[in-house]
Amino acid sequence: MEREKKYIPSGLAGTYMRRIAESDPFVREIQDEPSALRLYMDTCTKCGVCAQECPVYYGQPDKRMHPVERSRQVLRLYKKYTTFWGRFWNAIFPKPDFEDNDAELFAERMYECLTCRRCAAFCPVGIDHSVISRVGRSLVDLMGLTPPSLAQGTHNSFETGNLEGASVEAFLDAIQFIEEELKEETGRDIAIPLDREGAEIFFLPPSGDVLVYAENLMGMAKIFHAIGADWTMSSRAFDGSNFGFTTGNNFSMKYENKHYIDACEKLGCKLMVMGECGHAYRVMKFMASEGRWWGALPFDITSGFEYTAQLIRTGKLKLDPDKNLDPVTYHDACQFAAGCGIVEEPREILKAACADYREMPDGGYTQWCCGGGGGLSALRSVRAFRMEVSGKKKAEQMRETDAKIVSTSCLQCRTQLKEIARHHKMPLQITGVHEMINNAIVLE
Amino acid sequence: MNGFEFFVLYRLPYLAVPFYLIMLSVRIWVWMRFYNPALKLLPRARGSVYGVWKQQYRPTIHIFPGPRLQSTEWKRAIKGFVFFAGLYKRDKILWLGSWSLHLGLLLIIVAHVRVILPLDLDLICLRVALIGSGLMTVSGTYLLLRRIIIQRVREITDFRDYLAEVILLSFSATAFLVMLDGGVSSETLRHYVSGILMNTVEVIEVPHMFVWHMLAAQLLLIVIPFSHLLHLGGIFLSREFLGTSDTFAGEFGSGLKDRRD
Ligand code: SF4
Ligand code: SF4
Repeated sequence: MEREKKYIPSGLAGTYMRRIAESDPFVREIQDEPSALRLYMDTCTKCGVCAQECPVYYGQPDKRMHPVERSRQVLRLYKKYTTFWGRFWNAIFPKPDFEDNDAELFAERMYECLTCRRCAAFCPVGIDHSVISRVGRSLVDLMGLTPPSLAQGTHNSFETGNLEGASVEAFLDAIQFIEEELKEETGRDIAIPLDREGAEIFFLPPSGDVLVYAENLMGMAKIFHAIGADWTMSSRAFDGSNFGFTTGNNFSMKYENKHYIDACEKLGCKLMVMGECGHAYRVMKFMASEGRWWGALPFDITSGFEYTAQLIRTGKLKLDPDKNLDPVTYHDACQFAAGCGIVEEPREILKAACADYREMPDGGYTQWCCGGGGGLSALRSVRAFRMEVSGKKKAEQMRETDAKIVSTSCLQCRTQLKEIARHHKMPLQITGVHEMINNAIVLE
Repeated sequence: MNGFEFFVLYRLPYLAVPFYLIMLSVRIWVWMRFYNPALKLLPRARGSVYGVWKQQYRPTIHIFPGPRLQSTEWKRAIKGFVFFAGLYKRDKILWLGSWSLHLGLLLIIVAHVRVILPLDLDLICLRVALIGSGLMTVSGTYLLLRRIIIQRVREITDFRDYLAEVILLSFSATAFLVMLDGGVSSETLRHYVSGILMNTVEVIEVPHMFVWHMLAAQLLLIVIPFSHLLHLGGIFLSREFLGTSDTFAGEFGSGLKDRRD
């Protein structure tokens, strides 16, 4: 079982952790997870501010959607299995693990949190319910109750190295198609180099940007072409996303991350530029790299946004905003904004590439989630919930801006925003950020 | 002194104070398991437990990550802790209620300093305590009403939370009534405290309300470790590991600016 491969560090720390680990994997999962749970349990002032700021509670203000109430489902397990009094009372009055003894209901509830961290930004004591929901999701995963499409994505990543489960041949076909498109559009040979050893830059977009929304990759290819960059992609590791982070499966999260780290190291690149996926970037930059999961990495890591914004700031890119005349607004993807602190860069890019940029209300670090965060946009089963509950606030905001184009930095947001626009009958175009560059860049 | 007064003034403190100290120490120890003392011994610790903590997998990363300037960190921490600036930005009425409650509590605590200082500060301290307890009573009443009236707060409140707030309110209201009654002199308080410390019963002249105030204060110590009032200790760790000074100071996003500094 995958669980058994769960990451335990080598050496003394590993021995120590193994010694204190419970034999029951369910209990161990709770024990291994952040001790922060205890602090969360003890420091909540029960002020209700998180609910006021939570997009899900906004859409459906009842107890079930309350962040504290959802977290309580996980914390009662934590209490039951890891605290003295919890164990004591459970020995005397045993209680089932889940309310109504319903594991499926528990699973459903864990996927009613968008893991957007808006609550954490506003909570007076800094409690991050997304962390608790993620622990809940890891238990859900352990019970085999992860929603099938997410479980399939993780499975695909194990099997093929990409969520889509695409073969290398399919990838090569897509790249060839994109190169032809670039040629047709610009009249130039803009190559997308593959597996070039010793290249300066390793570019890692999410596979959706190769196989579904190619405009982002085209934009990036034009940028590299315009500045004469020495870059490459990998035909083995071409999916810079991370579903393990979403499903709470730590082993999968690390596995997916290691896959492209290995590819970059193998090619000997000096800089990894990551595409428009906040999950992968957050795991890579702020967990794997800062947490030194794999020791010191022999390359630097940056996001496509930081990279492009820097080029714009230094005047290395020539953009013609008149190529994007329709009013554009930006939707901050939670993982980039509240997870990685990337807020200004996409705006700098859009302001430089578009003639009429408009700010979304509450935009920036305290953005409202699109309603499809935390993997929800991949779940057709919760479409009604996404449209009417979790996406309610975003629909209102999109209407408020009066923009014709909503640009965003995440494939999941893109899917959700498209569906919201269709569902609420808003004639909006949803794009990626580098897609706007793709339109506006002037190649000399 | 009747049996009830004797119990509250001279017997309950032996139960309530150690209970509070033990329970709080246990909590702090549990919270400190973040740092896992055993890991401190490892070479990977690079001199700090925090170093090890960071190396372990914890998805509780900073909300708006990025290196900060030490001085900015401090400024924000002070803004957050002293003025609750983050809460001010989010909910001004709640801020007013909670900030004045904490200020009131602080004033009450400060007023008690006269017991250990060899100075005659009765006049000023009684006034400070009067203001503090008044402030705390008014804001405590608001917070309790808010808890009862507002749905999203009521939904997550259980019996222990109501109990804790009622006791807190009784603590400040009785303090206020004691102050209105002229208060208790430092000398009397010193007699009382030394009586407890020496386990001798000193006969003291205090207003009857003082006994109720002492009962509320001790019940408060007993109930704190089991209620949401426990944030009084946890917030210091939470600030370091769960939130950032950004969230406490309400300066969203300033991390990014600092990164460029
Ligand atoms: S905002 Fe924070 S302290 Fe207040 S109820 Fe929510 S989690 Fe608890
Ligand atoms: S992470 Fe987002 S969806 Fe989840 S509880 Fe917090 S605000 Fe609500």
